Amino acid sequence: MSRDSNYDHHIAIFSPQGRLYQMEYCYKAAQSGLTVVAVRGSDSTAVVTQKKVPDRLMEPESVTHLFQITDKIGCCVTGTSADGKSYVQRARYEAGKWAFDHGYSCPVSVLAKRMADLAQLDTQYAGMRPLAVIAVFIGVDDETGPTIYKVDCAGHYLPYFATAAGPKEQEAMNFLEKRVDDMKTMDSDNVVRTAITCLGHVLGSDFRGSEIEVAQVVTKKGKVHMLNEDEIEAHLNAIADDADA
Amino acid sequence: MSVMTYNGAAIIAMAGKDCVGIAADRRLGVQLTTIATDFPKIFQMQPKLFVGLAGLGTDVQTLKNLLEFRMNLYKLKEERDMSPKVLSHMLGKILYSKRFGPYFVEPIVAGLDESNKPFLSTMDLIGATSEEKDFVVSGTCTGNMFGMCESLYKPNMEAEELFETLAQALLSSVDRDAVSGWGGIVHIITKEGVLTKELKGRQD
Repeated sequence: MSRDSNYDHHIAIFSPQGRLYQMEYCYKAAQSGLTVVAVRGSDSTAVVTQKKVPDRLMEPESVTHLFQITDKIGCCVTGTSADGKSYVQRARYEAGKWAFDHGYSCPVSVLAKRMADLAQLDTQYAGMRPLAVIAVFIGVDDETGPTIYKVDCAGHYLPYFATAAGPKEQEAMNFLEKRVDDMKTMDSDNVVRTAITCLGHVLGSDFRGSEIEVAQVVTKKGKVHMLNEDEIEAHLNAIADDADA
Repeated sequence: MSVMTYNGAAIIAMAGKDCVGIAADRRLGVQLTTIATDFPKIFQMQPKLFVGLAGLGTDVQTLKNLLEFRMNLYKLKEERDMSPKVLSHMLGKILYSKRFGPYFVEPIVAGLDESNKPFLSTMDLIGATSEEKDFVVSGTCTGNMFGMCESLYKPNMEAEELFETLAQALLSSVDRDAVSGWGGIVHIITKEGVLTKELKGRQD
């Protein structure tokens, strides 16, 4: 197999041009999932994603890409859902173990770094394929306030004021860039509404409450809150009212 | 000197009519020197699920943290609360996993299951579990506690009477044990909620 001129396409080895083909293919797989938008405000963060139930025979409640990692850290994973579920389980274990070892709850930044470091290993070890997921972690840190971290399959991780992942990521980021100064003073409701509006804008559609999922963390004392359909409808109505006004 | 009697402990749990009670002493000592009179040995893991840990103080604290960690993972994955039976089983497994270098604790699990029926269990330091219908005891004066419980206990007591029985059984048992006592704490769990009372006994 090493005689194959495309050997570098098979495993995590550099190409002569200095590219890692496997990582690029992995990134393509991760980007093929659902669009995710996350926004940070003055004292809260929210993350929004589409809810597409692929089959009418499936139980809608079981289809989700938003997960609770700890009481205070929420996560949205886009990409292959099987990899996503495995990723979430590992994140839950890592955050829990950190809290057990250190005696206080794991901060978002620490978890993001840990998950990123784990992802990087898969880019060096030829024997393990990377997990095709991009994860957006949200929380409100005790010391630094509202926090969003995006961790990709290559192990890049960065904090954001607002971010997007998945298809139409670039359009969503452009939309959010224009509003980034306003975000610093937004209250928790406006944070959610900005994220929903951004998602609607890039996907070019209006939503019903059952077509999107929203999670938010409000204030340092807050816990991860997955909004139910009624709460989402209330936000959608408020957005529609503002648009009419 | 035995590692199980190094810090001192006395824990009793009893079942009543649609309720359970769990009580413990408050002393932490280093052999015969008393260090603390407010050392917690009973931990509320869920609204109607308590775990009492008797034995070496460091293992009491570590095991409490470990149990919390494992419970959190379970609740996130299963998306439901842990029932007392499952917690008891998991605790037994954790203890057995250290069969040849054990945690020096002998735990008690007390709670109400999903249908609010009382659940009591106890195990030894390597996870041999036994579920009981009436009462379970653990600590450095189990002889005393067994005697008191056997005499004072009757089945189907209401919450008020259960409290009295538990409190008297605990206080009398620890008075004849040098390394346990220095006050007590009692939790009575009913389907309405939990009542907690502190006991003042012989402060020696």
